Amino acid sequence: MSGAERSYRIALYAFPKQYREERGEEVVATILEGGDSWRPRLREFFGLFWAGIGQRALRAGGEKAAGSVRAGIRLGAYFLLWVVAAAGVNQVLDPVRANNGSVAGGRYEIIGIAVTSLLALAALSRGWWAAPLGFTVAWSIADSLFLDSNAPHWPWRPDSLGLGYWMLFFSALGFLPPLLCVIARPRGREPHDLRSPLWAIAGLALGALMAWHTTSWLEWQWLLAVPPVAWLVLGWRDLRLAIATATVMTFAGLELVFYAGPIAWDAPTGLVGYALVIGAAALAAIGFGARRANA
Amino acid sequence: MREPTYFTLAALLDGPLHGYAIVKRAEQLSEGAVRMTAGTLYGALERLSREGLVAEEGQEIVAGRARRYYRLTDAGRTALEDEAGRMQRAATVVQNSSRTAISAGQSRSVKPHPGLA
Repeated sequence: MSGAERSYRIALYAFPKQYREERGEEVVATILEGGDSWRPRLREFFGLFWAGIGQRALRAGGEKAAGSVRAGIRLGAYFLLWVVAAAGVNQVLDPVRANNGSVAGGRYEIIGIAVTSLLALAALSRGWWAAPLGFTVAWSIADSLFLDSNAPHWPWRPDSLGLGYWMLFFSALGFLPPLLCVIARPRGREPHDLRSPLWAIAGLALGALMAWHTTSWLEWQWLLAVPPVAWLVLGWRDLRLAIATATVMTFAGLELVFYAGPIAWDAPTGLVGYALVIGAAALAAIGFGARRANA
Repeated sequence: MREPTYFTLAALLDGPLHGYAIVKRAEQLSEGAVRMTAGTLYGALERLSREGLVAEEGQEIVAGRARRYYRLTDAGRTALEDEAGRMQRAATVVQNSSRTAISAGQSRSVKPHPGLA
């Protein structure tokens, strides 16, 4: 086996297993028929890789690869809603501590989060899938502009309670996707369907549980490794999950850039945030690459 | 319909072909404009098969490697002809407009300029 053939066979791993077994030999034979050489042609290698990702996206999202991207962004919107809801639960349980001693600020926080969550759920019930993302972003901006001194509930801000919320955030990313896989698993030949109300209920319940446990997770720094693993493993299994994670990460990263500024570079969490933004951009590129591969 | 998809279907007009032959035929028909990678080809074939525009036509083993043949279905032929007709109509619009503009320009150019008269 030549080096070129070996490279093409590696690129074949981008395809779903079933497709690889059915067509892998044929695909490689087609490339090699054009002339076997000692080194791989990069155009063929990357073409094969993107086509494989496209196949995965197609199998996850239905007719078009773009459907997977849209579904992933919807999932990301759910994730964001849950993170906000988890923070809201923490406000209710311990408003004084969550607002650095200010009870008044805490009240506004609770009202704001409650209104945001209700609006988002109402929008979801009408089938406006991207609305939670918009509401959450709007709330976050309003919160930072008008309640800044009293509202350090966003986990990625340097003046927030910090690490505990980071852990909450990362843990949520680590644990939610498998849960979603279980809930969303289609029966028999039924297509993937994201519209089950169980998603919102289960997510909110899990978020509440995590908020309750936040302080005990302070030392679990190893959980920082969860998002990359989630991207690689779960994203490989279902591209939608990777895109959903990227949506949340992009939002988190933008928050960090806009509100934390250069200070964030001094904090370990800030560095992680910037790294995550880069990762999110790469994943988004994979998503759109998959769309393009669907020629 | 995208260009690689169009030329994949067009390549099969004369009869069933295997993967590499489709790539070469598409390149030839497009006068070198469409040079598909195997990834693009098999992505297109998978989608066209699912849509019923292309079907498998048996396979053979050549030099120990699998070689599958693909053929155009009736639906595929219709889709290709529809697309060709659509492009022809779109091209006619532009060509007619260009001719009108050229003839208008020529008729203007033969008129003497009022200032020079």
